[in-house]
Amino acid sequence: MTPGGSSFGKYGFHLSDDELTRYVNGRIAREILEYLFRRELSPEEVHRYTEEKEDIYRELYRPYLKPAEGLIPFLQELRRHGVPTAIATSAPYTNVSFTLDGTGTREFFREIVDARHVRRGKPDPEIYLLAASRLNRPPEKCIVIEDALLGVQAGLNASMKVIGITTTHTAEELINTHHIIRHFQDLDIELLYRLLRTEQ
Amino acid sequence: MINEQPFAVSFDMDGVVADNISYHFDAWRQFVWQIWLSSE
Repeated sequence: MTPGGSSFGKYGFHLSDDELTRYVNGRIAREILEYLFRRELSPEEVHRYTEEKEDIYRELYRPYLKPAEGLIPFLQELRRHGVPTAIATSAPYTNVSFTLDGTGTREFFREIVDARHVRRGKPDPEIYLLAASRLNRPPEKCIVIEDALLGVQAGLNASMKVIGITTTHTAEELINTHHIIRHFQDLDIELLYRLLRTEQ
Repeated sequence: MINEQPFAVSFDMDGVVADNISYHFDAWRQFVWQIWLSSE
């Protein structure tokens, strides 16, 4: 067995690439861990296992940490036009700090909603509805930018316009979104206004 | 255009602010491996 094989010996299941892509990506840690262990975990267990996993992640990614292509100019454009922005992530706060501070993007987000603030992970719309509420905008005046299938569904369940970015999934897999981009250079303020005017 | 009520944009973080999902997947694999080792 190798790390790529990813099985719990005595628990007897396999964590496949498909499970990682379709089930894990977008969920809060408690849901993922209880899926892995096949049982309910105590808050202490969730905290300990989450820290273990996220320590591994941060160590792996730290040398390569950078903002997504075209993100900073896009955030600057939104700020010039007075568009309020939020982070709505299933990640724990330690990862939020790691990512936003490491990419130099924290200053661009008026609100940050993370795993501490919601009871239900994506695809439940809770996190996007909370972000909208904090930004003082109704759902029909909100746009969600997502890479994960569960996150796309969360945005749709919140009755918001959803833009899919093809970092994790192909355009074909993101077909349910209202618009698909490869990177943030594909977006500008006019496109966002047009998107909000569309019925579907 | 300028008279329209400003809208809001919510960003997912992992995979959107940073293109980092492959590192998360590798971390989950290593985590599972560590749990497996500790369970033996």
